[in-house]
Amino acid sequence: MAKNQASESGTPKPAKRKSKPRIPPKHKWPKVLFPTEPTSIPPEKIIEAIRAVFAERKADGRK
Amino acid sequence: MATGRGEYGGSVFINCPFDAEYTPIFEAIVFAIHAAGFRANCARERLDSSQIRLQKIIELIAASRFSIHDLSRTDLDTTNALPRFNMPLELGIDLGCKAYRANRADKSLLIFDSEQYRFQKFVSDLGGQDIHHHANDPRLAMVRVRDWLRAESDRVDIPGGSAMFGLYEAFRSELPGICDRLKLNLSELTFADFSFTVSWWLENRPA
Repeated sequence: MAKNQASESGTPKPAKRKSKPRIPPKHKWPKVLFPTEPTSIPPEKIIEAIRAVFAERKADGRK
Repeated sequence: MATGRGEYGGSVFINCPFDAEYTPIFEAIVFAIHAAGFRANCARERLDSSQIRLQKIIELIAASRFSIHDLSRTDLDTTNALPRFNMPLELGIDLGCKAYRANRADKSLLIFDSEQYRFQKFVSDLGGQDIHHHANDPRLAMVRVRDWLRAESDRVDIPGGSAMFGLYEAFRSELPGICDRLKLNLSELTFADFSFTVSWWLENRPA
């Protein structure tokens, strides 16, 4: 029987849905636990330095 | 049994040498602990010198469900020709804590040595324990820590050793730039600074 051909009762068969290719779920890394001990440098300074490196990497990626 | 990630269940105590030669292994271990979703504790981190060192260690051991004891530097001191006993001593305290405190019976210990079966020559009482070797290779040390935490914590979200090491390489490539901005040499980062840098980097790295 051809695709979508009406059945004997005359009701058209619904078109078969094409199944989407299965993409495996992206692995989620565990939630990070931060140290409880005080740092010798203010944490904001460390965060600022890491952000600057991330921004630099992003800018390099655009070039 | 405390399998959650509370203060105790999520803490990993590191008992290892603090020399420059060991630093690459130490830093890889700290990174593996944070990347696996745990918190690294170490006697290095407490700056309060008024507290007796051994007391600090005892408190950290009792507060950590997991411990890593590295006996790879239990060798003769070049100045005095005597063995360094700090690491075996701390391992003994941890084994005692697990044996004598009912609420610490679920403690899990990873014992490292540089070579397989070497420990039998200097601490044969450990014969029944599972001793791992890392061959002084940071990658191998990281994979061993990852595999042990995965098995002992029953957590399924800990990524594989290769993925973890790939991420560590990305972190290492960015660490000099971070230190430059902080006007610090890599060797000047304290344990707490390094640990915080690893944690924030892991939590906020762009996808």
